[in-house]
Amino acid sequence: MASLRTLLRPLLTALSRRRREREMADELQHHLELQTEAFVRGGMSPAEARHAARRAFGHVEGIKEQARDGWSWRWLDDGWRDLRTTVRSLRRSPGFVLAVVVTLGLGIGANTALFSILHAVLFRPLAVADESRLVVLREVQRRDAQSGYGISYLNFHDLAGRVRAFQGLTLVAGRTVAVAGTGEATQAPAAVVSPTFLDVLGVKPVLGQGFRAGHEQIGGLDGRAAVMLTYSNWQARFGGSTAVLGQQLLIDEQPHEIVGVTPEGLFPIEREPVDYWLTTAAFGDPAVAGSANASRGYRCYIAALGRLRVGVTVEAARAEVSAEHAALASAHPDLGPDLVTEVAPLRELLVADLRPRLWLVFGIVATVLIIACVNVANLLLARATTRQRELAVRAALGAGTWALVRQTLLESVLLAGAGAALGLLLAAWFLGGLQALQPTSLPSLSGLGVSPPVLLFALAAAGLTGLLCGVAPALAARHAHPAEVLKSGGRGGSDGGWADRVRAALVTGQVALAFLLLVCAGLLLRSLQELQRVKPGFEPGDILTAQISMTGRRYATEGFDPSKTNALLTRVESALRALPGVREVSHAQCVPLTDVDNNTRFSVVEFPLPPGQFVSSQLRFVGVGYFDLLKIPLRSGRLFAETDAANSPPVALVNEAFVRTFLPDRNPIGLQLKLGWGGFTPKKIVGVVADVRHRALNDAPRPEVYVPQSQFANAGVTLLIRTQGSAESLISSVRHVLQTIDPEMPVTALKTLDTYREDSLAPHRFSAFLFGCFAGLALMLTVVGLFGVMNFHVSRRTREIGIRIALGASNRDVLGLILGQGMRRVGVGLALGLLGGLAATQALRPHLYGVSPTDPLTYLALAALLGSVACLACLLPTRKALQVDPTVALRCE
Amino acid sequence: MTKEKADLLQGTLDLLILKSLQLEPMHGFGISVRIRQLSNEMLTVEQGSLYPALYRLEEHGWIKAEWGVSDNNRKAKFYQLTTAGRKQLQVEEQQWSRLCTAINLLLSHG
Repeated sequence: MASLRTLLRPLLTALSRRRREREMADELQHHLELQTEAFVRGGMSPAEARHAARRAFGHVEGIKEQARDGWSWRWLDDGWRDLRTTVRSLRRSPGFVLAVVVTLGLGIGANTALFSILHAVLFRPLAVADESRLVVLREVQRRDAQSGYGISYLNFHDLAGRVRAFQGLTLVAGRTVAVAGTGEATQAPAAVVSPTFLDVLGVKPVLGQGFRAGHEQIGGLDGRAAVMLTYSNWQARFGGSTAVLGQQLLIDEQPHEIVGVTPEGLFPIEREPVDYWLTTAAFGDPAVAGSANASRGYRCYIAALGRLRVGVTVEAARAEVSAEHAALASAHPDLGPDLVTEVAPLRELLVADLRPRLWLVFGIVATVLIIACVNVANLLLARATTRQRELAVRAALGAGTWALVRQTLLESVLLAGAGAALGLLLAAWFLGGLQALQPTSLPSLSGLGVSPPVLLFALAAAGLTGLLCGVAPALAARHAHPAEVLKSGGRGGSDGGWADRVRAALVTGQVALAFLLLVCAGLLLRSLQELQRVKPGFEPGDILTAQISMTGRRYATEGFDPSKTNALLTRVESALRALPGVREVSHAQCVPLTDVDNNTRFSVVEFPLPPGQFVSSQLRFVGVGYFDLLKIPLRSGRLFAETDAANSPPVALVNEAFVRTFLPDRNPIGLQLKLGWGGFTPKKIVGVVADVRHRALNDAPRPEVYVPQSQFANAGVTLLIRTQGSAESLISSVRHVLQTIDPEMPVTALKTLDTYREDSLAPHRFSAFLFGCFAGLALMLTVVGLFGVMNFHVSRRTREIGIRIALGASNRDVLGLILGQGMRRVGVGLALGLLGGLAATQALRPHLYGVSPTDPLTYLALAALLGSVACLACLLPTRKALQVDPTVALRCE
Repeated sequence: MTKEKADLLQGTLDLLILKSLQLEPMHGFGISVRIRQLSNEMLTVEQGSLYPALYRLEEHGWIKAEWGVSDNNRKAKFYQLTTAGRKQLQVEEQQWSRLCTAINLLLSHG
């Protein structure tokens, strides 16, 4: 309590400062009176006594000053006085304050908004218990990462039974399911997990008991299959009602009982949100050959999640897993020596690909803030120079150097504080807009806003910005020599050169940073142009796509019947062909640019690989007219034909990349391919087709094998409909045809292939746009800064220019002088920016397509742009100076 | 005015002020008079030292001030010892006498 009072006392006394001042004056006055009376009693006349008392007393104000030292709030008093002086002097120049606060507000706002995204994505804890103990297990081919990450059911269970490092393990996979039982049949994203999933994550269902051991059996626990809802789905489709527990849903036509609702924000390992949680039973009976769960080579799960036992490190778990994997591999030699099981922290999986991109953007925004800081520093510096006389007078009156520096710094910190307040408002507004736009584009982006760490960041940014902006003017204040300044009449005819040099250095740095950002933006723009020009290897125009799912009892009595599936496909296709405006119809299991892809291990029967070695290729199941419809050219041999039916000899096509990679200098036609998936009988290669870009426009073509759907039926296919005229106008009639044929068949993603193509460009367009905006902002700030500095420079040299002109200098001489000075700074800045750009754009390399990070054209064009804009910024103030009449200039004070 | 004046030893001012307040509350002028009288005109306290010292002692909580009416019927600030102040006075008296003993011992060996 006593210590609290000690702490508070200075504050309290400071608040009662006026009263104490008055009391002190009273007290001293009283002392004087008593002394006077004493002298009168001693025999002096009243007037004499008053003088004597005053003499005896000493300098009243001096005593007051000394007495104040006895009060412990002296420092606070000083600070308060400084603050008031600063606020008063700022209020006198509202325009200046507005310019500074808005500049800093934009800079700090952008930084704060980005920091809160960065924080939410990279650092904010996930909605699970003790995240540090969660790791991810995935199998990958060491020498062929293209074949993808994942884990198979059987391998997982063998490992899980042996590894002792984990307290619990669960499988995780994604799957699109057909859902009926609540209105219209739909397809919905679901996650397939082990019943231990919630235990491993350390969370409890918000409703119900959740999965229990046994639910993963085929048919469920005691003959009842189970499903859980995600919180968002529960709210959106089930109205958040507690009555959903025990309700039956038809999922892929199997009855499932709702056994629980998972907490809000629970993520299914990948970033895409899901609606339902299913058990591993969704991938079939591991004891029945042919099901996904029964294949040791088919890594149908994205990963396994494990919770480490307390005290077990990730390294220890990694060592144990790799030892057990080796044991597994020796028991199953067909897994191959290249397959490894990786162990990584969970967060790594979630953010690994986002991290570099976010840091890159953060770097850019921070650079813009630095440029803004330089502008503000220059404004403050110019202000400090015009205030030199004031500072000099104060210094002459005894203000210490430290007091002057302190006040200059206080001014900039105060301005930065106001900037930060504005920045926080802007950031909150921006983040609100962002969430409204894309609520699911990033993991755990919900609840994004100004949280305490974000607030702390903004404060730190403001403090740092204040110091950064204030340090140059503060140093200039230190250089104020009272005598010289007062002698020169405060015109500052000569600046001492010091502040001028600082200004020049700042502007040079600014030009360098702006050039760097411009180059980055320019390269991304060029890259986008190149991407838009890319020929994907097929014609995406006028093609409508629709994904359909043909699973369930209607197409098979037990499991899945390929002949029924293909019979349905034939019916669907002929019905669609009959639609007016439809030119061609075909289908494929995965269509380019739609984000669906397959990979399989294979061998060429005629050229067997040494034992233990494997190669893999992308795999496509397509309809007969697929190549004609997409206009993918045939290079040699023949395409698929109607004669390649279910019972005809199995055939396959390969693309040119396949031949280049695996069969260079050989004729592939007639060779036999043995695939890991898609029917085990070797297939004869009957032709070679041209390459297509399947995954993305900037993705190099990969080796591909095509197999006719007629010889290996897939239940989920994408229909391709080439139309006459606009493909979009056919969407509703296509949907109608499909529903007439089978009202319970889920149909999704009725989109044109062009839309997919545009969507695949969206991230590139977005980053080019973002960079462009920031580079534009940087350019604008730099030009404004340059103009400001040159303008200031010229106005201070008006007299000198007048003398030069009076002595016979021509306009050209003066123009050359000023322009030369300005452009020299710009030139040095460009050179520095070039060096910086060459280094910084290396970080941009993964984001570029078809353009080198050192593309000379981009550098030259942007240097010319920046140079000419800068030239203009230098020219305008110079012209103003030239218009001044020399006699006026000479008289100007 | 031929009386010899003693220089105030640093740090003894607090002791003198506390001592002069031991009997009754007093205002600043009274304290300076009291010190002069008690020291037989040998010690005088400058106002420039007195008031800062008073404020400092008040900050420490050793004395407290109250407004009252002085002999000349005028509002004046009276200082009085607090309990902590009395304790502090004892401590300072002991310290002083220890110091005197030590210095006297030292000088007697000269």
